[in-house]
Amino acid sequence: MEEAIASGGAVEIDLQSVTKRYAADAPPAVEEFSLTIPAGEIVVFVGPSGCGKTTTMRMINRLVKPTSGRIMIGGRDAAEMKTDVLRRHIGYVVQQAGLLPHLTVRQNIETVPRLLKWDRKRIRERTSELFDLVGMEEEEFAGRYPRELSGGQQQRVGVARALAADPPILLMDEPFGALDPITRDRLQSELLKIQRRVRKTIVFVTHDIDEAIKLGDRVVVLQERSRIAQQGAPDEILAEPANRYVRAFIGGGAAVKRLHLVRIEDLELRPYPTFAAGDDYDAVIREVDELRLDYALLLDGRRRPLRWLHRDELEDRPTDPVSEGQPVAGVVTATTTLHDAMDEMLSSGTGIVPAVDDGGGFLGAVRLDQVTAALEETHVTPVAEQADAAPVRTVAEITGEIDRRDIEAEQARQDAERDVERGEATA
Amino acid sequence: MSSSPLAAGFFTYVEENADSILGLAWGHVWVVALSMGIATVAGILLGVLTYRSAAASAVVLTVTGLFLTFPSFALLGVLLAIMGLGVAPVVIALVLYALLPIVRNTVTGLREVDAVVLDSARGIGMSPLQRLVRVELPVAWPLILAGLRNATQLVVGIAAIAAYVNGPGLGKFIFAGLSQLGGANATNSIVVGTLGVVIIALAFDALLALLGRATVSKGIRA
Repeated sequence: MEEAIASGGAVEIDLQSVTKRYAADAPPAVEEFSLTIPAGEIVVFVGPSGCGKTTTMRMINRLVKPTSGRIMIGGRDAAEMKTDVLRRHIGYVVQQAGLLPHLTVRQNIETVPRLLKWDRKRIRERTSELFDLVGMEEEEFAGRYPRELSGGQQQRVGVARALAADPPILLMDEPFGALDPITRDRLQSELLKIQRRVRKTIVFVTHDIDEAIKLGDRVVVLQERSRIAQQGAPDEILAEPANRYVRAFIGGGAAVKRLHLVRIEDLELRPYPTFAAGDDYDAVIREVDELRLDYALLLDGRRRPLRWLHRDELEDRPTDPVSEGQPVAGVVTATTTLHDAMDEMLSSGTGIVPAVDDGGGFLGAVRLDQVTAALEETHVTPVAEQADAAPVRTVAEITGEIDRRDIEAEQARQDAERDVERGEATA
Repeated sequence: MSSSPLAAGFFTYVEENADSILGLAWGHVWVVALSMGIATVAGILLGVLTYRSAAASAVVLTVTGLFLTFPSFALLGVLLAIMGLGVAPVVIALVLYALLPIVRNTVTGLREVDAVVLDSARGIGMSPLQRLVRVELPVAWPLILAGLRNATQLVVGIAAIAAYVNGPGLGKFIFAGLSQLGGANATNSIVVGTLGVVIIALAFDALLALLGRATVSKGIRA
């Protein structure tokens, strides 16, 4: 059969002066939108509701037909491909998953491969892979119906269905918007993990700037009519918001948000006194004193961190150190964000957290002052101190504006009705 | 004797008339099944063709609703005048009566399919026909089936009146009984006809309930 876009690898999407106008006399929903989305990257469209970000995304798989402009997918004009065929090669994930309620999880996942008329064996194998990819037990879930799943599970199935035919592109329209914060956070992390394996070109739409920063290789901040207020890597946008609109949209705590972007692998790990049961205590105590520390870290036979022992406890030279000191509450790995690392430090109360390799072996320590130093490096000026920051408005001013808008809308509606009545009277 | 003389008389009557009772009951079942078969196809088709347009479905629902307001005697009388005696006018009348519940439930069922579900079906590349056949009709099916059950009950009852224009069915017993009220077996005749209609109605309903069990997906069963 004719493949609209080759499956498997990622492709570039190029939007060229794309405009969508729903009515000739109304302002366009999307105006002259141009953007190149590089193959294999996650690009996040972020903006307030009604800014046209979803409309822009939906033009890529032609759920919305552009009024003018061109969309090139992998170098081919999307308008020249057969619409249904095009869509079968673009994965599509929506809020609340949009699973077909009368079909089982398996049938939902197999929908697109069946539309593409894959043979049964290939479909079965692919489905098993997908259950594995999204972290669901095939045996447990294959025969269930969507309504028997939690919101998070439904969305996993939604992602599996979108990836089923191994499309080079994935469009995701606020896929995690309806989930509770904990599930949302977990699914975001899993999406990143999945992306590391599958490397698709992903267009992700959200109104949540934190989600955009966490997921995007590139973040595109949109304002009304889908005009690009700023685009760039997340830390560029956080460090140097292009204008007041972007600054206001990022909101407070830009510096803290940057902690989501820096990972342990970006830091230099500090040496830390460690010892194993049976080691010479004199050497450990000497090392603790040299580094002007209070604690040493007890490791097990495979160099995995076990317990913190205070210098005083070391002086007692316990024969069984495993029953002394404080247990290690948490560890970080190379990909842990500074935000999560700081969380570990604060909850353990030591202000320090061990970094470990994939096998759990101790690599070095991360200290709170390193996190503070990383924050200082970012040079983010607090919004309030910036000269052209949006003026602070009182709640009354804001609600007054909303009231006025409502009143104007109501007025317009009544006027329209009167016109209709008048028209009927003369007819 | 444990049973009363009246009941005994009834059973004797049933025994003596067993052949014609079974024959007319079969005729009743047959004319209902035929009419419902035609009405189901026509009704679902009308629903599918009009549910996207508020104006078109309003017209169809008003017209099919209008049929229901004709007294059955009057409608049968008119059809009789046009087509003469026989099965054809009966089937036509029954189909007209059955349409409203079927069309109404088809339209409602198709309209109630979740917009998010339809959007994602479109987004993953289902053609309009595939969406209708694989998504919309299966999801609307429980409601359509409820309309079919509704229509069947209606039609089983009205089919009894069809005996008036010489249609087949248990209505013959009722009309025969009514025409000889006070006669020896008038009451027995009416009771046989009425009871038979009730039994047939229950049997059809049970059959459709079973059909529902077999065909409605577990994922959307109430």
